[in-house]
Amino acid sequence: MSSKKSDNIDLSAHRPPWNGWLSTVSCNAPLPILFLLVWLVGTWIDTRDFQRNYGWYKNILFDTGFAIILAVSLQLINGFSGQFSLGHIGFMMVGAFLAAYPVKAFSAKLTDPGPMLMFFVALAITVAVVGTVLILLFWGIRYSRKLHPLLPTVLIILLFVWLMVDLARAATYEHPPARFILTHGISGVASSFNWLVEHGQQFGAKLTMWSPKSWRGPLCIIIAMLGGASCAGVTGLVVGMPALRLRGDYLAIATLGMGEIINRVIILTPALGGALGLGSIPRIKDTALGKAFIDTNANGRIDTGESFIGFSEFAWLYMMVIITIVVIWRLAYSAKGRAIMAVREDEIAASAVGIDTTHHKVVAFVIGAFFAGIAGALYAMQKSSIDPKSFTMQRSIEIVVMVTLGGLGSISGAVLAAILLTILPELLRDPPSAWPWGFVAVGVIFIGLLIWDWRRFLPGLIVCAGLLGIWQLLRMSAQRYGVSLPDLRMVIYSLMLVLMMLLRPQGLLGGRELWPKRRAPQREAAPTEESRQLGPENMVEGRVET
Amino acid sequence: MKTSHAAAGLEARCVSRNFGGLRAVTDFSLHVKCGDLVGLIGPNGAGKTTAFNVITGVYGPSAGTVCMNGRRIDGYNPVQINRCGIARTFQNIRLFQNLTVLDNVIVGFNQSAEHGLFGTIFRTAKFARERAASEARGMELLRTLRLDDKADYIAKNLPYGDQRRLEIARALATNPRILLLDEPAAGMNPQEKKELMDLIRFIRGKFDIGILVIEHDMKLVMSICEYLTVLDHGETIATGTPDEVQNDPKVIEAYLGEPA
Repeated sequence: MSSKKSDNIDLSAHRPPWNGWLSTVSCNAPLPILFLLVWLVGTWIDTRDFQRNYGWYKNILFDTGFAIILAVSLQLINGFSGQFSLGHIGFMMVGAFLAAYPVKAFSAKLTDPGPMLMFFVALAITVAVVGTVLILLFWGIRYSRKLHPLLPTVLIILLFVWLMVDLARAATYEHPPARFILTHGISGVASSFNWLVEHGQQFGAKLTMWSPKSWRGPLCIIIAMLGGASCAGVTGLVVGMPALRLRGDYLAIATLGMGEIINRVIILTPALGGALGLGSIPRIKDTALGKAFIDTNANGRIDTGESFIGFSEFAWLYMMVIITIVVIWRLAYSAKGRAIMAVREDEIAASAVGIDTTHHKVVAFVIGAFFAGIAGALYAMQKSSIDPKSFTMQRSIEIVVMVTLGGLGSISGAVLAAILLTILPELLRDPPSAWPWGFVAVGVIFIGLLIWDWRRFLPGLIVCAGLLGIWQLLRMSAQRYGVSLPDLRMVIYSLMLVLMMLLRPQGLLGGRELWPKRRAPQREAAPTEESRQLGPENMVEGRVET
Repeated sequence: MKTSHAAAGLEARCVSRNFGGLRAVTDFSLHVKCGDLVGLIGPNGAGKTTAFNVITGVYGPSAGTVCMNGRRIDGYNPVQINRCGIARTFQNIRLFQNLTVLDNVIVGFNQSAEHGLFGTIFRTAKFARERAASEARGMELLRTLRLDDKADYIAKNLPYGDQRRLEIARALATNPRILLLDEPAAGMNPQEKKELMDLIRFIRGKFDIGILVIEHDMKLVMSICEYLTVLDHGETIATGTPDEVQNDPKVIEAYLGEPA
């Protein structure tokens, strides 16, 4: 839609040279560098011979990574689109189980990507066909309104009754005869999905043969992540389309229910392990990729073995953390994000300026669910066993707390809160002394920030130093009076949340970001000819005579 | 003024809207061409805002048709209606309060953004160009409405008069052919009202759009509108030029009550 107004403006005057291809390069150049850094750190972690509590520290590190992905993706839903979702963990669960199943069943310990890919293709085909049929059916029902306004209601009731009768009657037969169309339809979908998966295996094996040997491991992980995440995204779409018609508390309750339904459906699916969950899922670190670093201590050198590039578990997870943050950041601070935020601010006004509110809410919801699915897939491949009981409402609420504590509408706030709320309860198990290294660390972190912009970061420094001081006092007095801090762990944690909400209800960063959302736009200060014409004395003349 | 066949501009014909037994608007007809300045007046509860809401798709009409450039648009949703070239402001200001002034305007350009999800995520050159262009357009529009020095303010921190103007700027950003203003002068002092009148005349001339104003302030309406429709209890009691309407006994009765 080219508009009359834009033609009047000479855009070349507003376009500095770095708005061309150079901007793309300068925007994306830090990413490979960051990936390299993460790879180095991951390699360092895996090759170092940590003496004490290695597993514990490493677990905190991984949990922090998952928490960041979940919090940032929920920030897009809760903070930017303003749709309060309490079922976020459900999407992580879908991602975890639907990545874990093919990884366990088809990937031959993360060496055989072809059959896994074919599993997801079969799933996609089935979902697409069933979805199309259902959409056509519902369109038909909807348009029957034109014949008579009561017809859709009648049709839905009839359909429901038919479904119930069909299922109930068919259950009395061992082999239901052909007149039970719905029963046959449902079992037909299941058997054709199985057929697709089975026959896809041969083709999948061929695909594996074609792929270079050293790429197979990474491909497996990527396919599992993208597949699991896409499943979560589709679930988000199915859940979001009806639920996002609701607002506020009603939506929160609906998403809560949807999360529970997802949990129950997965528990009731035998292929996904039932109530026990899935165990002995191949782990990233057991593959040729991760093994290189595990063996290093024995070999005394880094042996990348057959792998293309040896990415450790840590590198995979934190690369996805970076990708999640970058993608959601860019989405949130773009035209699309602006529209999403406009919907949050005022739906009626948003639709009055031509923003399709439902579309934008669903887009935010689906993208948030997608990234939660990525976290789930990595979780499955890191923990090696997943249990439906660990994906409960409680976890959803923890993520909501992170998002709220970080400040709604602030990605860096969500990251900070995710780190804080994962590390803090663990630190309280065995409270270390903050003196002197805690203060040194805070000092070092803030020196750079203060040099950059001391006005902005001085309050942060004071708050951090004060918190460390309180921590130290607490620890000292606990020692003095013989109180066990680890026993009071959850009390302290909860008290901090309460205090936080009392003292700073807008969250840590309160909708702002740690660093500027974007480069300040180039603007010329001098008024143009036109605005000078529009001085108050000229404005009275009104309509320009033509 | 009236044309019977399909014509340019916004045309409502015999529009009615009932809420249950309440007939909020009955047989409401109106024609706004590009370049027209039409007023819609009436005492409180006369159905002016309902008529507005029917035109902008917030409610569907119970009867009658609404056409834009000869195309029927009744039954469209607000988004589709906006894309047909009808933009509106609200009686109680509805800005995107926590966005900046510039963002409030740029939101209106959204429908013309061409870079897709890929461009957004990889920040392609096209994305950068379009962002610079939309910012330039946004600043241009703000400059026209003399808000450019406040472009970085958070919208809710603007003074009242500026918020009104920003709402008009946001509506103009969607590139409308017809602009509907719902009580733009509500809560303004005489000086601000005078400025608003000038502004309305100015944008009508600058963008060559048709403007439909709902207003209580008779002085303001009488001085800027070329054509008036008076509603009372949902019914159109008078139409015509300000002079005709001013002397219409029905209008006087509606506003001042029956002669004693």
